[in-house]
Amino acid sequence: MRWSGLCLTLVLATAPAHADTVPAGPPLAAPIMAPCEADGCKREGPTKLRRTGAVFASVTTGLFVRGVGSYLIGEKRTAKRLALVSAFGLGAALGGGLPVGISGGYPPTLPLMPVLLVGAGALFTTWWADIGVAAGVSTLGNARTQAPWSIELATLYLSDPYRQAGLGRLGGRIELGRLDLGASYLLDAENELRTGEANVRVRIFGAAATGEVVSDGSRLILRAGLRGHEDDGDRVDTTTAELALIGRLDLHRLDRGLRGAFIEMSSGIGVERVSHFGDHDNSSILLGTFSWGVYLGNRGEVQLFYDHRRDSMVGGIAAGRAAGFVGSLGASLDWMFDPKWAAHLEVDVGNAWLTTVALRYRGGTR
Amino acid sequence: MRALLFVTLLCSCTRPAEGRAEDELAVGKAEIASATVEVKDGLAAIRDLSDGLLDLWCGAPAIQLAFAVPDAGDWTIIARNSLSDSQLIIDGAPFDRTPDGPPTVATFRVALAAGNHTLRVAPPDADRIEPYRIVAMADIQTALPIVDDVFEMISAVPDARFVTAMGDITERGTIEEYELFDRQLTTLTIPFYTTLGNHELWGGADRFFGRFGRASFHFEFKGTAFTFADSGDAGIDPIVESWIDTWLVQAIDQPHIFLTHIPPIDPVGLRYGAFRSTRDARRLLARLAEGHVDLTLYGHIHTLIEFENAGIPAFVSGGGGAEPMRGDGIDRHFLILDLDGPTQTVTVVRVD
Repeated sequence: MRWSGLCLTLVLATAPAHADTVPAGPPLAAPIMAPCEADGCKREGPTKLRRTGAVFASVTTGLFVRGVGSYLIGEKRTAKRLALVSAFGLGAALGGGLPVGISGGYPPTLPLMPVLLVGAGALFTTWWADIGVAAGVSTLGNARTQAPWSIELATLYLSDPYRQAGLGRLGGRIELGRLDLGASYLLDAENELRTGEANVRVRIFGAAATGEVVSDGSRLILRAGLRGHEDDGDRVDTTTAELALIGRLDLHRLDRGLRGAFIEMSSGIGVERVSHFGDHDNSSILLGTFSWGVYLGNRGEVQLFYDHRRDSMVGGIAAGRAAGFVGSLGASLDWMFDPKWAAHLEVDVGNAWLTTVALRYRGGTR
Repeated sequence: MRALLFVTLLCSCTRPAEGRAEDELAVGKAEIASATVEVKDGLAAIRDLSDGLLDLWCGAPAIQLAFAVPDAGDWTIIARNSLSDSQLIIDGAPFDRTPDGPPTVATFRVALAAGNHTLRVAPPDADRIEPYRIVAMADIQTALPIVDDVFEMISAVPDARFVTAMGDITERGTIEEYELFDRQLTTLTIPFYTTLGNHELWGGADRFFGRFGRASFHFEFKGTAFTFADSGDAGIDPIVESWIDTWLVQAIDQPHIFLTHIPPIDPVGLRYGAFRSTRDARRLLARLAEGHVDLTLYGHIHTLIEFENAGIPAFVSGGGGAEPMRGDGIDRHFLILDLDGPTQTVTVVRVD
């Protein structure tokens, strides 16, 4: 956590800001800027054939040669910067991963795991970002902050190897100054599975939750969480306490060709106490996520993400010979269809499939 | 594009061991014109069935099989991986093994009348409840060429009856590795019963099943129950879990040892050398605790850790010779288990 925090802080502090960093901007009806024109980067777009080829190259060759998609559509500077960040990621992944791997997971090397995750995050998110540039989805919109307060009602469908379950979740949050307080309760249709969760987020850096469009959605947040989980079917009760650092970087800070896209990473640690028929097990959890996303107009965002934790309902992907070492993948869409209302759609794939459809009331917005 | 396809396939599959579990049910069954064999509970792999020859690899100290022959004839029955004092009992009549051959290869030459026969290969004391000693180990992998060192030390352990193993006997599951493993086993004077590990899956589980039998199986010996479970994909398939549920009920009043390759929960949680779903892991442990399991044995992490899970004593013992964890000072080792009813005394023996 310490390392990932340092890395994110370093990136946030040193990356060139090509856009205004006003914390809040005009409301929905008046977008801050047409994404690309503001930086004077308007030019003839690539032909459809060239773009298709670039997307194909970025998906295939791009996994190993970062930036090839951007390069092929003429965004050479973007390609170069993506390659640089991925090189940093490769270095961090090797620096964090080699001691852990070579030692066979010797416990004193495990504090390097967050470095490995941040490195892997930089590697994968730059790959996804390159595909996004090649496909032309990186210039779609601007960031919008959360509403000052919100209430969310969600329905979830879980399909894991052992069961299918429909669940409901009610949650809410409110930002008070730099503090964001949130809580939620999850219940399945049979009342066999119950999860209550409370979170406190401290906004270290970034725009306040006004619900308005901002020119930069970059932020750094410290999250402390407490979760209680009861599963009558599995006959297990779990209590988890977590602390994590979450950073988002709007990629126009890296290169103007990446305007409208962002990456987000988090890392932290958790402790859990599990009750089995009167016996208790205590354990630790490594928290780590990374994602790449794009803003959709001024109304929302879409993200692809990786989550390293295995204690969620989703668990880790059955990744062949690497099963057990790999977490889950997911995609989410947040879409504000009315100034007061937004929808959240999410699919998570790991040991299970989890689909979430949520309706959110955005309180305190104009 | 292939990488994308691979990721898509991985994501679409939440039960990678389902087919494997179904395939296990075919273990121990064979049929030719002159004979039909079915090993009870799949506790032996049939390596060869031809006119006059039945060649078995035993997966338990005591196995029973139904053997039907349409015509009377002479049969050679080879029970590989059996205890040195094993007898063959056919329809209640005992037959002694031929005096030649390695201690774990019991050969019997018998004349069978036409009809259905019940055969049992077991030592005379298999059902006598009294203290005894076994050995446990896991994770041989790249040390396969030198594992005979370990086997020689195990063979020298006084009164040890058999070895239980928690998988990863090969590095890549190749046929050459399995053949080498077979040759190395000739240095071991007691049987070796194992589940598979994630490394066996590199080569396909059918190679394992064909040679060593089931990966998820259960047997009892001298009053103690042993359950081996396939966790090669870092999880237990629901089919295997249903078998485990049955075995837990069967052995609820007996001392019970549970063995699987990957620990459900890594004792150092944030390392994640464990099941891919913590919730499934907790679910399994709750079942084992409710089933009064007395000891759990795991491999996968190449070190030695003694801990408790769900109140059940547990060992991670990955000292078969695979690349060891560096820095912990623990190299090749195995465990000696002295079993006396519900009491298990575990002694660590270091090879290097």
